[in-house]
Amino acid sequence: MEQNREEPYFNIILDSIADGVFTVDNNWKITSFNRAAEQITGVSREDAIGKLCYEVFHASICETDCALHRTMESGRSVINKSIYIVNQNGKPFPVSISTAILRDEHGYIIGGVETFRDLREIEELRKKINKNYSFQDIISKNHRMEKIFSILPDIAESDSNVLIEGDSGTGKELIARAIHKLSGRKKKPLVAVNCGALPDTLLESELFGYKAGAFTDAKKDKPGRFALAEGGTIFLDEIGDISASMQTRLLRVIQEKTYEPLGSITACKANVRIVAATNKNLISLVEEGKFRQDLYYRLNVMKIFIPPLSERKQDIPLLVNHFIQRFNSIKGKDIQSISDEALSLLMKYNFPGNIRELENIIEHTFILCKGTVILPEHLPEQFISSHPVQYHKKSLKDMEKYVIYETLRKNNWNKKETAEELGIDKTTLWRKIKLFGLENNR
Amino acid sequence: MLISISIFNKRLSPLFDTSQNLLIVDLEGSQENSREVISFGSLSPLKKIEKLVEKKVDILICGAISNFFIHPLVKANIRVIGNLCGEYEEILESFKKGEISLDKFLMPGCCRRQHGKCHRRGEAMRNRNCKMKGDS
Repeated sequence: MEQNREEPYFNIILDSIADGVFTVDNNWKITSFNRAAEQITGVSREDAIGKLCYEVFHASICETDCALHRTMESGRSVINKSIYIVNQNGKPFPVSISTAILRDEHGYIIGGVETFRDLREIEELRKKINKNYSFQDIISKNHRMEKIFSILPDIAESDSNVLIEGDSGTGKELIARAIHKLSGRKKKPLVAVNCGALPDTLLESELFGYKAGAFTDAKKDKPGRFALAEGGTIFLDEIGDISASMQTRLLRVIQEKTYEPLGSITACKANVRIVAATNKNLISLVEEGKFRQDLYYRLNVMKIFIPPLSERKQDIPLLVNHFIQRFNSIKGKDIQSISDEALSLLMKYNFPGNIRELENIIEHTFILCKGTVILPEHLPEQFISSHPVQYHKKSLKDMEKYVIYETLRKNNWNKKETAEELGIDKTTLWRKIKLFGLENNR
Repeated sequence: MLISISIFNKRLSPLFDTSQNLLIVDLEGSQENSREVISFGSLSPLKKIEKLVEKKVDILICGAISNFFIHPLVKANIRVIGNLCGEYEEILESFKKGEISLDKFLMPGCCRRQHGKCHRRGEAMRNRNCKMKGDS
């Protein structure tokens, strides 16, 4: 670049800003390097000038997707791209970069300029904030969740039965675990049972156990979950799905604090706290006669409602960071953060599958992300492309397709529950899934 | 002895973590028996390490490299000579001549960064990293 009278002033200005700034010529050799660039990279101006930019900067995108290269080829600037650079001590840290073309007075490209911002402090702050919003492994800064956190210790201490209501994937089991860990029963087991996953006959033997000879395959005694939870807590998930006869049996256990294993004539004492959970509206089921009112009131001594993720979107960034850290340990990766663009896509989404769905999405990105920043292209394809069902078309057929699809997603593709919610026969649902080709969008 | 070098066009790859290609050279003393280039970029970090171990590489010569990679590589008995830059053929020639430290190829502003046992001398190398300005 030509020397001119204004250059000293430019240098003073560039040296006074907090962001790193460097320029390169058409051969990628560094032609200027400001004070902040020295501080952030740890490389002095004297060492940097005249060297290839990627051998000074050694960033995650240098070899594969250099932003400066892209800018100089296309003429389009890159703004606030999150990447990481590795310093000479092997420590990676996040920076945000922006690029622009440098032209001479005739308009010819003479090089490029890149500015970069050190994001380490912001990342530290973000980690601190995440820590402040964590309670017993449950992460939230939503005021409704904070209210739950504030009363959980008292609920735990009370030893009363608890009913947790909330959509699938909202963290009902985490709340149950928190209650157990905060209670006087924490030294005894917490045993979880998914009541919706087992037919009645199996559920009975699972909960209460059986004696040898109780049925054909019962070769020896087997303790049930109540026995295993003795002194501790039993977590009955999907309590709304149990049959009328099981409801009756359960009510008796709660009232009399005893139960009989299958094939036994002797009652066993049950010193177990019951925490039940459901994604159904139990009081509605009571009104419809599908759930016993007396059992409902025995379970519902304390009730906790967990709002869906769509009603507490401020938790999404915290949860994303939490899952990133968790998957880093499990998968041996070193993903540092998620880009603003990818996070923005997540924030617009309604998460019918709630936190479990978000967790699955982050796990998906871990497969595709080879660097340290999750980008939009790492999100599931159906997530970032337009919605698989074109709701905006607004024909009756499109609306029907959309409603069926959304209900399937909400119920985790459980056809029985979807058909019930829609008020149609299961066969009809199957026919419509086939007609609209919805299995392909799963 | 098998030497691996992470390459980018005719030069050393600036960052091993995201390097796309690995040159593996079979050396006997200063004689080169064979060489091959393997594609590396689509592999996850752990898979990259596995690949180096699978190829029975003794030494890795590379540019900047995250600490994440150092420990498992050293544990797998692979000596890492990092923070280098320059044309890889030149670096390889220097190595063949016995210039183990390769200091003249250090990246701008970098200190020597070597980990793992020195295969030629059979001595343990000490990590000679030093703090640079602006480093936390």
